[in-house]
Amino acid sequence: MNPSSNINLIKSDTQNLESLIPIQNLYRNFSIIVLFIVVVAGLLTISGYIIFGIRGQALVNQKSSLLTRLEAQKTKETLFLAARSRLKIVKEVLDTSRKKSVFLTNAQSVADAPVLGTVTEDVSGRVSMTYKVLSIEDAIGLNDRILDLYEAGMIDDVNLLGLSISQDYSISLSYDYKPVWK
Amino acid sequence: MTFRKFLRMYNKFVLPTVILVICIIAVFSGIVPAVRSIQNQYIEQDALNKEIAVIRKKVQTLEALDENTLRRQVIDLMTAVPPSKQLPSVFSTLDSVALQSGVTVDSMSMGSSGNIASDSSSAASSLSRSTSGLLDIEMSVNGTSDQAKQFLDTLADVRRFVRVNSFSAGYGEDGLVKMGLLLDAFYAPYPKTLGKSGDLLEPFTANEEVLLSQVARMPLISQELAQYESLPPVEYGNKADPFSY
Repeated sequence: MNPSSNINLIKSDTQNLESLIPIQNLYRNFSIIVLFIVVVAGLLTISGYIIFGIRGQALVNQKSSLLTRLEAQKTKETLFLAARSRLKIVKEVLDTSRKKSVFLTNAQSVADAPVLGTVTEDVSGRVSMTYKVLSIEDAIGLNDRILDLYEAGMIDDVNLLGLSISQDYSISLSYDYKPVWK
Repeated sequence: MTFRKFLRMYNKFVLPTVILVICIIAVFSGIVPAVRSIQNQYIEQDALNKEIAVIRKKVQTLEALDENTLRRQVIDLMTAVPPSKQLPSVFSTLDSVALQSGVTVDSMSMGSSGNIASDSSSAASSLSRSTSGLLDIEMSVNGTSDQAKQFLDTLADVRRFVRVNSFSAGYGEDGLVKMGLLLDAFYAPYPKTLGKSGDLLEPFTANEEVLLSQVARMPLISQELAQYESLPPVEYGNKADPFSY
């Protein structure tokens, strides 16, 4: 018989319960750890919630202040947008607008009036010129001067559109070309 | 096994189990929704931050602009491309260019595609071959060759903008040139909306600045449009239309 200070002769636990003690301890420790984690996570969440709430309010205030400043600039904004929308049109117009006196200059550099008859620019942008000369030599000279313009890079895609000799032996020539813009 | 015996056997498990149950309830009913809420706030604040950055840049851009300079630039552009057809200014410009270059105007008429007047707030879509409205003008002039050349050059260099679409020049025996021209005159209605506060607003680019100065340098020879040059700046205040004088 084992000496014992326990004077209770009735067993408080069964043999089964004694084997549960390590599991009980493990389970208790686990629950405490989980509780600790949940408490920490809860505190962190509450802190984050408060911080984001304050930050959000600060951003809303900042936006509101900026919108007030923007409202004060409404006139400038209107003017600015009006200017910008027109600038697009202005650019488009200026990009397609040319000083077309160069067509007359080109035509006159080949031969002036009365040899030069007409200069026409059609809507596709091609330019045609008509000349009337009195001899074959003049016609050849005229042709050479047009080729000089082509070689100088002032005109492109030159075509002799028509050549006719009338009863008075005058020769009518018509050319067209594509202008070169530099 | 009776319930009392069961309790006696497992009473040490009860408290940890209660703690775990409370923890699980706390996680699913408190922490998880709160984390989701924080996540949503983060997304919203990120978007708000971006919006604030755009508005700040917009405000800084606008504050850096001088209102009088801006008003001057708008007037320059308005005289180049008016908000409505403004036929008198077209004819006045063409007449002034003719007078300046010395050619004689034989005829001038509006092409078939335009009405006499248009509401500045409605774009004439049927006329639009570009982003603006177009007025077709037919014109015939005569003068010496130099005068004809000067007429064509001046047309490309004045406000309001008129573009030579096509032309035909006939050289006469007397040395005079008779020209028939098809011209485009431009107009563009005011913008109808300002856009949202969060829309990006970039300052004028270098190219736009060049265009602005180019337009400002172009002479304004129309008497109809010259009035705008001398107008004093107007405070916006309660005016509904900041362009109105």
